[in-house]
Amino acid sequence: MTITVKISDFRKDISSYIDQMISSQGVINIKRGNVVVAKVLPEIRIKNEKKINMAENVLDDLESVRKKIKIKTKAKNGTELANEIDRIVYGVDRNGQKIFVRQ
Amino acid sequence: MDKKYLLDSNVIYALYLDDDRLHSKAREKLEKLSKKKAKLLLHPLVLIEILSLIKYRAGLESVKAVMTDFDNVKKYLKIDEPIILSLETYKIFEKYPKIGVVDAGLIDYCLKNKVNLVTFDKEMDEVWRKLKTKN
Repeated sequence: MTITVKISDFRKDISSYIDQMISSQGVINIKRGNVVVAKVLPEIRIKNEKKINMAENVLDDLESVRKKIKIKTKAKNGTELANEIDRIVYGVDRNGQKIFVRQ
Repeated sequence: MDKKYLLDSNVIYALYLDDDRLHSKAREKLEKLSKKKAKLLLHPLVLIEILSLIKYRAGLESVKAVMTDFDNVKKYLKIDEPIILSLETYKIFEKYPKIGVVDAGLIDYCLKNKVNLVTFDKEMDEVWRKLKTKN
């Protein structure tokens, strides 16, 4: 893909042309009047995106979020917790135990 | 390739619980994932469950606090896809007596997208691991 621009336009809005170069990886013809006076072959190196450590970010301010919520449970282990969730959300767990949905 | 982990409702619930034992377990899981620099995925079905749960247990203000946390793209990646009951999901639901339809949907998603499942539910974990080995 070739992008043709006038020198005056290029000076006005260089960032928009840089965006086009990134997306198209094309050649840019620089024209003065109707004459192509230069060709730009962009070589763009995009820096590697720094890896986000999501779990670390969750843990960082977890205490402040917990303080706002304050939920109690009677569950003693993971299986009991999963059953409790089913009873609250669906009204019945996989063992057929029921509670009123908003209890 | 990024390591992706889908968090089940019980893990997220335990994470925000004001209860030491189960909260510590969820925290331990997150600490392990932190070492792997994993991506934490939130499935729409999990969001539905967890928002209902927190609304009924702690009220709407708490839901808002959790939602703000979920919307932070540096913490979680929300899966943007419609909820459909696929044939594969139904087959898992039909075959395993103690697997609910939501559990089956999550297992199916993890298998299709090569995503790891993080759950406290032993039966769900066993079925996911079994089917993962088969695939």
